[in-house]
Amino acid sequence: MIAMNDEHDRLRSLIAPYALGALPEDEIRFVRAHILECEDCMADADAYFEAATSLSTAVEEVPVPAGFADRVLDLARGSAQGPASAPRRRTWRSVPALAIGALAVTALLLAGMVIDTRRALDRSENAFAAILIGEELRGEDAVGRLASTGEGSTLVIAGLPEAAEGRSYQLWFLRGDDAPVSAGVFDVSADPTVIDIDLRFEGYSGAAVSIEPEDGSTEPTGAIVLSNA
Amino acid sequence: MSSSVDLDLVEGLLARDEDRLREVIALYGGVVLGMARRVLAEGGMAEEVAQDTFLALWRRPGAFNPERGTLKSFLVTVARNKAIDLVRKQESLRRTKDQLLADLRTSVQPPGAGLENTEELKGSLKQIPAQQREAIVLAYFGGRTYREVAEELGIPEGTAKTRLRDGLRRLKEVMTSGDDRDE
Repeated sequence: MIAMNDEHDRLRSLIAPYALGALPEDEIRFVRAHILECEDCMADADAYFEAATSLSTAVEEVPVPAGFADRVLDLARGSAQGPASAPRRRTWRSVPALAIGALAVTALLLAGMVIDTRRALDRSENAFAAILIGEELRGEDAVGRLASTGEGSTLVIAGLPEAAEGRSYQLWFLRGDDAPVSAGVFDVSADPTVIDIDLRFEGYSGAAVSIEPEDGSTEPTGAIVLSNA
Repeated sequence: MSSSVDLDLVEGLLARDEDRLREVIALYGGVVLGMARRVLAEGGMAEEVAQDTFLALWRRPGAFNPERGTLKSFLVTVARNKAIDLVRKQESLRRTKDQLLADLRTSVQPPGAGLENTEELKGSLKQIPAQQREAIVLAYFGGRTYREVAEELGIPEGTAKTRLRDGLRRLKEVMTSGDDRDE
C-alpha cells in the first residue's frame, strides 16, 4: 500500500510539468495513463491545463511582415486544393518501379525498425500504431509506415538519409485521379524517425514522399523516395 | 467560450473562403508570430512557424473546438507547440535562460495600448512569486523539461516540480479571483 501511495505521489508531482509540456517524453504515457484512472489527478490536470493555456495569451503582438498573408494563402492553395497540372500528375503514376526490386531489403529494414523503435520511441503510441497497423511505404533503401492517429497522421521512416542542403522531403496523399495533396514538408533527423502530420491519411488510397525544394512545392516535382504504390 | 466572430471565421474556413483566412491572419497574425518569436531564437524560423500555424488551421479548421477556448488561444497554443518541437530538435534555436527571463521582466512592465487579455495575464504572472515564475517561463516559453529547469536554475528536480505546480496553482487562483471580481 505504501509503495502504491509513493507511486501515486510521484505521478501526481508530474502533472504540472505535463500540463506545461515540460515532461520528458519517456514519462508522458505513464502520467497520461494515471490521470485517466485517478479522479484526484484528473482534477489537478484540469486545473493546471486551464492555467497553462492562459499563458498563451501573455504574449506581445509583433508586426506581421508585409506579404505574410499572401504567402500563407499561396501555401494553402497548394496544399488544400492541389495542382491541376496533368503532366506533373503523371509523374506519380511512375512511382512503383522504384520499390519493386527492394522488397528483401525493406523487409529487413522494417524488422529492425520495429525492434529499434520499440526501444527508442517507447513514448509514442502513435508511432507504434503506425508501425503495427500502418500502410507500408517502400523505397529503394528505405521503408515507412503511415497511419491516421488522432486528428492527424503519423509516419515512421527507416533508412532515409537527411535531405540535401536546400532540399526537404514532402509527403503527398493520393486518391484516384485527384491531384496529390501535400501533407507537409519534413526532414529526417534520426533513423528511424517519426513524423507528425496534421492531415489524416484516412480516406486516401495512396501516399508518397518526394524530394522537393526546402519550402516544399505545390505539386510533386522531384524524385520519389517512398511510395505505397 | 468562443465569440461569435470566431465561429463565423471558422465556418468560413470550412467553406474554403480565403478571405476568412485573411481575416484570421489580420486578427491573430501578430500574436501568433509573437509567440513563435518568444520561443525561438531565430526570427526567420518564427515566421515559418506562424505560417505553418495558419496553414494547419486552413487544412483542418475542425481541429479548433470552440467549447475549449478562443480561436486566439488555440492558434497561439498551436504556434507554441510547433516552436517547441523545433527547439527540441535543434539546439541552436533555443533561447537562453537570460533571454527568456529578460522577456519576462519586460512583459510585467506597465501595460501598453490595447490587448486587454494580455495585460490581465501579465498582471497574473506578476502575482506569482519570482522563483515560480522563472520556472514556468523556462518550461512554457523555453521548452525546457522539468529536469532541464532544475539544471538551469541549479535546484533539485523535486524543487523544480514543486515550483511549477505551485506556480500554476497560484496562477489559477489569480485567474479565479479575477473572474470573481468581474461578476
